[in-house]
Amino acid sequence: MSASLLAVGALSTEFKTDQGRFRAVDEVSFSLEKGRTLGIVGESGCGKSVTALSIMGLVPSPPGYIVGGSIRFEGEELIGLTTERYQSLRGNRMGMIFQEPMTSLNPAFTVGDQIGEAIIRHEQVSQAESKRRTIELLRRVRIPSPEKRYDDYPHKLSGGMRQRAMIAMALSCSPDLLIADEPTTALDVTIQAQILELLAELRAETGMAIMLITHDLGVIAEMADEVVVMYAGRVIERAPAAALFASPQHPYTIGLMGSIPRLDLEQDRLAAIEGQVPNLVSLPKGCRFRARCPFAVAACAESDPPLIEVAAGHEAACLRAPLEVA
Amino acid sequence: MVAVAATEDVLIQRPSAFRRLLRRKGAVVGLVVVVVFVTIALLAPWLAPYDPIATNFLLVRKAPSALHWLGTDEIGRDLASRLIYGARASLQAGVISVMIAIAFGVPLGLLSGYSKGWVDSLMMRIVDAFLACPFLILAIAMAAFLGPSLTNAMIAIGLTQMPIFVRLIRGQVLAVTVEDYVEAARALGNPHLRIAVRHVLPNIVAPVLVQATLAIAQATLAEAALSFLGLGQQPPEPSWGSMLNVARQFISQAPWMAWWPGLAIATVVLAFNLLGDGLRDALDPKEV
Repeated sequence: MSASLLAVGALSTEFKTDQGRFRAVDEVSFSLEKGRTLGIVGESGCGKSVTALSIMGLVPSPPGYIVGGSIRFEGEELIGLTTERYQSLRGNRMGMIFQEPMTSLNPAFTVGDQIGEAIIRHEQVSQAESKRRTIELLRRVRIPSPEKRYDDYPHKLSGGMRQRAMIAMALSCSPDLLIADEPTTALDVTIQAQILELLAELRAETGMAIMLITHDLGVIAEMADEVVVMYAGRVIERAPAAALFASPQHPYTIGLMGSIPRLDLEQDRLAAIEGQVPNLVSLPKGCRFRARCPFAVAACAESDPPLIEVAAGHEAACLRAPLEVA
Repeated sequence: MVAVAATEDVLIQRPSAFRRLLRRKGAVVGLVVVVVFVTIALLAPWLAPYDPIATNFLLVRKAPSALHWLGTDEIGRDLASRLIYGARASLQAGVISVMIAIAFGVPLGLLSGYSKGWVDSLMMRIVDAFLACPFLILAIAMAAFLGPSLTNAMIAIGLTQMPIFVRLIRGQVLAVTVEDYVEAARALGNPHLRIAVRHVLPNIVAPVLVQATLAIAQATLAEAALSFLGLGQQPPEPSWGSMLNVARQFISQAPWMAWWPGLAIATVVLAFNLLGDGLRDALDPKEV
């Protein structure tokens, strides 16, 4: 593989709680090339967001700690990086947008101030230059009349506009990597589509890589080149997006796809995945998905299956993969 | 995009905090009284009819009259003039000691709430110890330790009030640091000090402002108490507390000597309390 922009290897992040330690992220590995989009899918609490925070060095500590693995960003190891070095990367080389646009902007400052802050901090430009570039950014994220919005306080903007402002903020220093943590979850569907379209356009314009975290397979299908499916802190399937949708190999992925409404099939009810995500503090032995898996056999209780290649570039962590489609 | 602009620009307008303050009668009364007293204190040399420390043995303990409309004290000084000059000491003590409390309380509270961990625990235990002592007792003890003067009284009151601010600010900081926009500020690579000062602090100004107003009332009262005990403003300079102290000895012969400073203290303290309550309501984000 050529030099990746981001290479995460066996990353493990633990949290200490009163009930004990639990691994929110368990030996997660993936890599991301320049100009590509990596989708990370999974249900709530599967470790998607903690993976993102680990990369950004923002895991709240205490109680969270990165306990192992490596994160290499353009060849530089991020784990154990000094605070100063990390601060010079964040917002500059890597940007992040959050799920909740309504609360992600500081109510005490104007939109322009907040976006310009990163530019001034990382590139030591003058006030006037930062203002010019901020207005340019607002225009690039398709915010109408950016000169007026520059002086607006966040409460004057709607959710979609705020998310655009957040994207502008994350893009302020032309990052190489943009981590988007559920960027459209809190928005209604028409705005969702606009934001996704905007992200795709910006990626094409700037050549940045996007790490897109979502629980929405529809978003993945639209945006991602590669997909990582996570379950209970582990990567259980990794494949190019097309291959994943054509032939999902892990029973969990199959289950996720069964729970999307489709127009081309006659369906009475959506198939749900029965049961719940196991408690990460006291994980059962064997495969984590076993209790909910319709394909489980006795051997699944023996050990946690590793990721194995089932087809070129397509890996799944299931003893029974590749599944023969009956 | 035009359609988007039209549908998405939902403006939520709320009357400004100052307007909401003006809708409250109590707060307006408080504000007016405070402004009147501040004006009196500032214009004391022009408003006072006589020199506040000039004695006149022909006019000892005279009841209110046309010449001395609030009467005179035990060595013939004009009570109206002393009251007007006394407003300076009282308001100064109220405002400056609260400024001292904020000057130390804000950074310490920010440090405590932002750093969490053992620094926070240690500071909170110290604050607990301070708050365990009754306010006035602590202020008296500290003023006695520093020595009697108005400056020392202000320092003593300020330091005694500081723990309240540390505790308040720390709590507010804890609540604000978990907000998404603080996380977003970190994701932009801002250093801790900048996040604490620029992103957290402006969002906790409202409760600090309310507490400060109420603290001014408390500090004014404390200054009167300290001066009453001889630990504040030193004679012959007038202060409401020390005027009360002297009046105590003549309460049956010249009760007016006690009326005016007592009334002035009560009015100013009440006014600041009304203003503080009004501010609290006006700045409450849940109030419309």
